[in-house]
Amino acid sequence: MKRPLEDSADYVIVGTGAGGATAARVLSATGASVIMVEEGPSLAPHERSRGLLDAMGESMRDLATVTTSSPAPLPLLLGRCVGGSTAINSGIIWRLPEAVRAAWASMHGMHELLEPAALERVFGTLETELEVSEVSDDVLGGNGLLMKVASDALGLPGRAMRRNAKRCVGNARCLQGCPEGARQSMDSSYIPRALHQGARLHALCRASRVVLDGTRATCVQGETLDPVTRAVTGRFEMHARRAVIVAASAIYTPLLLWRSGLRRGVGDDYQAHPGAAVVGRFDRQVGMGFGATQAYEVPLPERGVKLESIALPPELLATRLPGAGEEWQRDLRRLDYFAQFCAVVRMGAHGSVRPGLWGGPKVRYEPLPDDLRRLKESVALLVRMMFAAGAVEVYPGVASVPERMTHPEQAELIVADHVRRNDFHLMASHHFATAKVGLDPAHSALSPELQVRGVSGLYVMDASALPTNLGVNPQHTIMAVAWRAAERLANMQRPSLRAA
Amino acid sequence: MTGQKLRGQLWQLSVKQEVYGVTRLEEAWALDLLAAFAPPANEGPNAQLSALPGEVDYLKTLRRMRALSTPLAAFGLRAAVWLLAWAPLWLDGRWLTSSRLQLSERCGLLRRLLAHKSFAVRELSLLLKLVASMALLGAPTVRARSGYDNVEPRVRAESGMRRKLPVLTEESNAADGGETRQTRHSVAP
Ligand SMILES: Cc1cc2nc3c(=O)[nH]c(=O)nc-3n(C[C@H](O)[C@H](O)[C@H](O)COP(=O)(O)OP(=O)(O)OC[C@H]3O[C@@H](n4cnc5c(N)ncnc54)[C@H](O)[C@@H]3O)c2cc1C
Ligand code: SF4
Repeated sequence: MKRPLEDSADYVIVGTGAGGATAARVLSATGASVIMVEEGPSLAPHERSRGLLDAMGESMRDLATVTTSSPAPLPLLLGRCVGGSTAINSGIIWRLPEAVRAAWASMHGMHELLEPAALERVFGTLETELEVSEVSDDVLGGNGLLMKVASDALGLPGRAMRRNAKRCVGNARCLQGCPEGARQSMDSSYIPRALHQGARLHALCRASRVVLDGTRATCVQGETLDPVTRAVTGRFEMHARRAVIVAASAIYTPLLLWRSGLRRGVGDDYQAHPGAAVVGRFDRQVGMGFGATQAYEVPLPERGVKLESIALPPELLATRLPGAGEEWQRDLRRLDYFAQFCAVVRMGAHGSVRPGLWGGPKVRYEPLPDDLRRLKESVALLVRMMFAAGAVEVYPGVASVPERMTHPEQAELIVADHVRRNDFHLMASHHFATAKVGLDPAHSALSPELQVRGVSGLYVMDASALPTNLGVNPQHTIMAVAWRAAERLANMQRPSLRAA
Repeated sequence: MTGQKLRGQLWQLSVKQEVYGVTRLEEAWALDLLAAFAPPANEGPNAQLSALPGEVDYLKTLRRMRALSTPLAAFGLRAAVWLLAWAPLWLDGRWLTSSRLQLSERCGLLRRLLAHKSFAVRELSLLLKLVASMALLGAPTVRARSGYDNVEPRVRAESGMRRKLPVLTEESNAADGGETRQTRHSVAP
């Protein structure tokens, strides 16, 4: 039998997304040796496919067909490539809201990790290193500009987004991975930096188990994958002298822990920010194909909702337009006349993640009645905004109301009682809390230092560790929490590292 | 390899074969359905967009999407083909598949299915519409005709014009009744 691929280092990190890559950046800077293990391929900006299907096939997990297992399945979007979901995200940057920070510090024991001065320093460093800036007017694009017009007209607190893409040229292709290398996703920033600092990357390596020696994590085992077919080609074993850090996302981290026999508090409290979108048709060119993919936002924290402009590639925009045949083709001939806004809701629902059939996750999650109410209100508001921006027709994407609306008053139909959850097309790309930090050992998988309870040398540093959802785009918070936890780990072990 | 592991792998293999191996008949149904979303028009305004013979490879897109999806979603696509192919029977009580309908009739059928009151029917129809969109707009010539990329210089200039945007100063955003600090590091002119 073929010998497994073997390697060893002080730290073995599983997953190279927001959490894993940040931990690698911090730990490798201390002089420690670091191995990064990533299931997906490594793709340089110029190697990314131009076609949407190929690009999504390369970097998005299962073409976004991982869903919840409810009667109305909700697609769960995740990246699967070096850089994780950051490689395909829109680069929106938000600091952790103070109210959420305070709650996590007091109720979940994160006061040390989230100490305000330290957090301020880390956010500042991240923002400098990842070139965070406000979307410049040059790349606001027609879609973003229309949201600004709508927001001004309705007196909403809109603003240009802050993104980690200062050099963005506005080709609206973030979902396919930035071909310009402008967006400072982890594959363009912290992974190259960690490699430069001596870390090693094993791409196309899927971890299947964390091996324990007694109560200590010592090794990660898994399979190597074929770059084209993704079929298993062999096995690997990565030995960790100091610690194993799991950062495989809030959907896949619990699966890995579960398969390693670590089940207490794991996968129990899945939370998300599901969203829905509204399309508007204008009587003049909008030009969705030009501008930052996401450029303008209206944060409404008191409602637990955030409204965002969001450009789609033509293939996905076409699917969003109603009908078939003559009427559909009429719209397809003028794809440059459409704009799209979306609403992202901080839902109160809690679900679970468990291993399912064929190695994938089984995710249970269903919005609560209050979540549905807020969703309806936000989609109705988006319809009004589209009209305020000058749309001649609005496609709300809600099954039990007219598929083409021509008056802003029709928005009221969406909040009616007969409109149900199944009438919406929801999607979620922000996932949380499936191996969360907490004070109560019975209900939290991790100690406040992000260590898996009862196992030394095993940490979780990704969105699973966050105790709740947060109401804003999460990558900045995930990176900051991973940074603080990695920094703490390095400080704890520095004397022995030096001795080594 | 343990017996249990071997059994597991064989099970996975058989499931995969069931899921991936679509028959010729199913592919023929799929092609008739996918092409009916944007039927070719010899004249009139739609002639500008609809696919010319050989321009769009619907089946290649379907196969690729099934291969890239989860086994469940791949099965969902197959189920969608069956459901839509036999829609004349279960929707209207007519003993024929949708392939036997006139193109215009098939197109009307798709419209009804996309707006059907059952979530499952709507979603499975939409899944096939996604395949059709991927195939159509994935063809560079069709994409070019859609106008998506033709952003006029006037529009670029208008949307990229120096506009006074709200300045993000040391501003607070009440989040959850609390505050979020979005510190601005550069100041707009
Ligand atoms: C389309 C999209 C747009 C988004 N837009 C924004 C945005 O603009 N701003 C924002 O703040 N957030 C955004 N998000 C969310 C944000 O990207 C994620 O919250 C964040 O990246 C999560 O970080 P993570 O480290 O938890 O996981 P991820 O970044 O998802 O990384 C996990 C990595 O682990 C790998 N992995 C999983 N299992 C294994 C295994 N068994 N072995 C080896 N490797 C494994 C995966 O392949 C992946 O690379 C977006 C997300 C998506 C999908
Ligand atoms: S909009 Fe285009 S250039 Fe800008 S960050 Fe996204 S992919 Fe890169």
